[in-house]
Amino acid sequence: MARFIVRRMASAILLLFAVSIVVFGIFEVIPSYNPARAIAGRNATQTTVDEVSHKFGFDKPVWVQYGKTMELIFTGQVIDYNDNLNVDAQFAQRFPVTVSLVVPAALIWLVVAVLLGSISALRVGGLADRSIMVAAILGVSIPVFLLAAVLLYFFAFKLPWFPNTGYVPLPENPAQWAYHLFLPWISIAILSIGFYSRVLRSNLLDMVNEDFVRTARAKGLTRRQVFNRHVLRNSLMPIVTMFGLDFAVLLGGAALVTETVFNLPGIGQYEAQAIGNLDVPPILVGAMFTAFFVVLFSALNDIVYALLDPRVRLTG
Amino acid sequence: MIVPRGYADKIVYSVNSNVTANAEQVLNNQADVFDPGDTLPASLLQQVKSQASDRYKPVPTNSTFYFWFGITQKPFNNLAARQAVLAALDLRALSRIDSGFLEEDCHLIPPGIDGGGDPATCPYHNPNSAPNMTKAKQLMQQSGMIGQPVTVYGEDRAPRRQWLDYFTSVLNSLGFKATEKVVNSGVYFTTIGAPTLKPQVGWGDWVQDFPHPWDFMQLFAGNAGSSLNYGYVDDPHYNSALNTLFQKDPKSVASQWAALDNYAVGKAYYAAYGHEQFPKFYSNRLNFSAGVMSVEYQTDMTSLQLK
Amino acid sequence: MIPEPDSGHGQAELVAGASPGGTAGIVTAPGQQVTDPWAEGRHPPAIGPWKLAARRLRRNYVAQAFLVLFLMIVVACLLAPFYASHIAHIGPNTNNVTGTINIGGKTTDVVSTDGVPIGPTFSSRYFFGADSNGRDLAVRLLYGGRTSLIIGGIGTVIIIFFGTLVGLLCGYFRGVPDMILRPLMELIWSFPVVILGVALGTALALGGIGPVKGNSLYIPAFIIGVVFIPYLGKPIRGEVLRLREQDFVEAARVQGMGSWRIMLSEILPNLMSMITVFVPMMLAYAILLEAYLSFLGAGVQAPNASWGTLISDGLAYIQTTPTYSLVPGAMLVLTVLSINVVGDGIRDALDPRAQVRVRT
Repeated sequence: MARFIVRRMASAILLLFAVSIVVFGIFEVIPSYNPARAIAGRNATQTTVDEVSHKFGFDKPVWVQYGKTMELIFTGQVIDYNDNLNVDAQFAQRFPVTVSLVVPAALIWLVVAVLLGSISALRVGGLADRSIMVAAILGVSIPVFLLAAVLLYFFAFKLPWFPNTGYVPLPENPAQWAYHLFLPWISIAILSIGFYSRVLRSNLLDMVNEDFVRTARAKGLTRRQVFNRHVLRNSLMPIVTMFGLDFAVLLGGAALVTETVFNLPGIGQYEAQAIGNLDVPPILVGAMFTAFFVVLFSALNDIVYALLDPRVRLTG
Repeated sequence: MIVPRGYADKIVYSVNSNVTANAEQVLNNQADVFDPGDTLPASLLQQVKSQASDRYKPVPTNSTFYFWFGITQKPFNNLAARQAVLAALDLRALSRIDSGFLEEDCHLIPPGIDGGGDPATCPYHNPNSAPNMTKAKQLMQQSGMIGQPVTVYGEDRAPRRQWLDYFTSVLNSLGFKATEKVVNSGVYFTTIGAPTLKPQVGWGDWVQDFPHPWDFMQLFAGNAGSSLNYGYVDDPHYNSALNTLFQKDPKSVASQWAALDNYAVGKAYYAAYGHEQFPKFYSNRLNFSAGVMSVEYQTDMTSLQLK
Repeated sequence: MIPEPDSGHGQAELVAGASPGGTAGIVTAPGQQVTDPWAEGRHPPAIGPWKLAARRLRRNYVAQAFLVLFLMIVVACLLAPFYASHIAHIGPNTNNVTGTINIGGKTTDVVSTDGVPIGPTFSSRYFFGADSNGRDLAVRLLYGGRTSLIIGGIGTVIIIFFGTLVGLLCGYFRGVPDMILRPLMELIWSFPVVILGVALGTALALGGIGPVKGNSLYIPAFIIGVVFIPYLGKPIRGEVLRLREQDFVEAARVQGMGSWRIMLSEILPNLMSMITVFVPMMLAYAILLEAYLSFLGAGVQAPNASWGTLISDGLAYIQTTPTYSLVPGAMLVLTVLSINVVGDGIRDALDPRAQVRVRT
C-alpha cells in the first residue's frame, strides 16, 4: 500500500509538472501577448511598461519566468495580471461555490442514471426501456450551454419559477441556496444521466450472457437476486471509474459555461475570464488543480477496485 | 476639504459581464443601480421604457467612439482611402446597433465640452442622414486602394463587436478585402498599443478625464506614443495648434478647437461616430431625481438614497 | 455525448471492451440451423460479418430515417450559397442595419432605431428574422451549419487517421514509440478538454500558427482533432496489443512479411469494425466541441458564423426574439442526435450479440 501511494504521488507530481509546462508554453507562443502591458494599463508609457516588465520578471528568459511563477503559486503569493488579485485566495474563495454546484449535481446524476439504466436493462425491449433510451440519446445530444440557456429562458424568465442568476451561500440560507442552484444542477445532471444510463444498460446486457449469471440462475436465484448480488456490482465498476474522472474534472472548474450562464462565482467562471483575458496565473493554477483531482480520484478508484476484488493487486 | 456625506450605509458592487442579467435585475428591483458603463440591451429597452419609465433616462456624457487609421502603412496612408471610409460610414446604423444610445457626430470633441462639434459642420455627410456612397466610391477609385487587404481590430463586448462587424462590412463594400480581429476587452487596448503590432485600423473610445478639449485632441498628438495614438498620426500643423491652444483658456478659443477638430476630420485621421448616452436606471427603491449621474463621473455614489 | 466535454473517457474503453473486432468466422442469421461445417460435403453458407451488419442495418428503420435527416441537413448547409444568392438575396456577412423590408404591405425597419431586429418573417428574405447588424439569420444558419460540419468533419478525419496511426505504432512496436506516445496521450487525456481547448483556441485565434491565419477554419479543426486523438488511440492500442499475439500475425511474421505490411494488411482490417463504430461517435463529439468553443469565442471567429456563435449571439435577445438562439440550437441538436442514432445503429449492426434477449 505504501509503495502504491508513493508511486501515485510521483506520477501526480510529474503530471502537474507536464500540465503546467504545456499551459505556460501555449501562452508564450502568442506574438502579441504581453502581460506587462496588461498590468501597466491602457495609458502607460513605454517606460512604465518596461518598469513593470522588469519588476515582474518578464524580461527574463522563459524558464526563469516559469520557475518564478511556480514558486509563487506554491507559496500562495501569485497574483493575476488583470485584477491584481491573489489567485490562490480567489480559488479558495470560489471553490465552495463550485463544490455546491458539482457535488449535488453529481449525486443526482449518479443515482438517477443507475436507476434508469437498471430499469432499462431489466425491461429490455419494453416501453420503459425504449422511452428511457430515447430520453437518454436526446440528453446526450444537447450541448450544456444550450441546455443552460434554454432552462434559464423557460424556467426563470418565461415562467418565473426560479430566480435568474446569482448564488446564495449555504450557511446563509439553505433554502435559497438550493433554490438558486436547482436549474444549474439540472443542467449538469441531464447530460450525464443520458450518457451514464446508456453505458450502464449496455454493460448490464453484456453481463447477462456471462456464465456466472447462468450458474446463479441454475442455482435457483431469482432474477432480482441475481441482479442485485452479481450483475449490478460488476457493471458498476467501470461506471465508478468514469464517474471519478468526470467528477474530478468538474471539481477543477470544467463547469465553466454553467457557472457563466447562471452567474455563479465559482472556479469555472474565474478560469473562463482568465482565458479570455490571456491571464496566465489563474489558468495555470486551474489546470494543475484539475490535474490534482484527476490523480486523486484515479488513485481512490484503484483502491476501491482492490478492496472489492481480491484478485486485483494495487499497482503504481 | 469637505467630503460629502453619503446616504447609503452600505453599497454592494457586483461585477457581472452578463449585461442582460444585470438589466433584468434592476428591472425586477432585485438590484438597485445599473452600471452605466454598459449599454442597456436592446431586447430589454422596450420593457424598460414601458414598465420603468419613471426610473429610466438616457443621460449624455462626454465620451466619443471612433475608428482610428494606421497612417504609416497601406492602405490608410492614402488620404483618399481614408476619406472614402468617412464618406461611406452610416452613423445612424452605428447608433441603432447601440440601441439608440448614440448621439451621432463626426467630431472627436463632445458637445458638452468647449469646442464641441456641431454635427451640422461635418464635411462628408450629415451624421443623421444617409452616407454619401457616390463620393465614397469616387474617392476609392482615386486612391487606387481597391482590393487591398485590411485587418480591423475591435473588442468582443457588445455592441463593440457588432460595431466592428458593421465597419468591416463597410470596408468590404468599398472594395477592400477586410477581415476582423476580435480581441478580448480586458486586453484590447494593451494589444493594439503594442509597438510591434502596427495595426492598420481599429476601434477606440475615450471618456473624458477632465472637461478640457485637449483631453480628447491629445489622442492624436504626434508625441502621444503608441499607447494612445494607435494610428501613429504625426501632423506638424496639428501638433503645433494643439500646443498653442492648450495654453489658452478653452472658452475663449472654443471656435479654434472646433476648427482643429474639423481639420483632423478633413484629414480623416479618425472616423469618430458619436458620443455615448449612458442609461440612468435605478430600481424603484431609490429616489430617482436625487441620484446624480454626472457627465464626468457617471454614478455619484454619495447621492444614492432610498425613497 | 459530452456533458461538459470531458466525460466520455470511460465510453471509449467500454467500446473497446465490447468491440466486435474478432468475429471472423461463421455466423448464422437468426432462425438458421447450425450445422457442422466440417462434415463431409457440407458447406453451409458463410455470411461475412460486414454483409450481416448491412443486413441488420437495413432492417433498422429508425437509424435509416435519421440517416436521411442527417443527409438532408448536410445538403441544405452545402447549398447555403445558393440560398443566399437566389432566395434571400443577401450574403451571410452583409450588414443591413438601416435597411427596410416590406412585411405584409408595411415598410418596416430591419433593425429599429432602438436596435431591435425583426423576428421571423417566414418568407424568402429574413426567414428567421435578422440579427443586430441586419444580417439574415436563415442565411447565417446555413453558412454556420456548413462551417460547423466542415470543422467537425476535418476534426474527425484528423482523429481517425492519427488515432489509428498512434494506436498502431504504440501497440505493435511497443518499445520506444510506446514510451513516447503513450505518456503524451495520457497527458492530453487527463488535461481538461475545456482548458486545453479553450486556451488553445484563444491563443491561436489571436496569433494564428505559422502560415495559417487566426481566423482560419483549420485551427478549431486542428484543436478538436488533437484533443480527441487519445479517445481513439488508447482503445486501438489495446486492441492491437491483443491482436499481435494472435496466430495469424505470427504466421505472417514467419512468412517474412515486414512490420508495416503486417500492420496494414493483417491488423488494420481487423480494426475496421472498431474504427467504424468510432467514426460517428467522434463526429458527434467534434461537432459539440466546436459549438462549445465557438460559444466561448475560442472557436470560429467573427464575423464568420457557426451554430455555436449564433447561439451565443442570440442569448442577448432571448427574451424578445428566442428564435435567434433556439433555431441554431435545434439544428445543432438534431444533427448530433441523428449522428448518435445512426452511430448506435451501426454499433448494433456490427455487434454479434445484437440479438440478445434477457431470458434468464
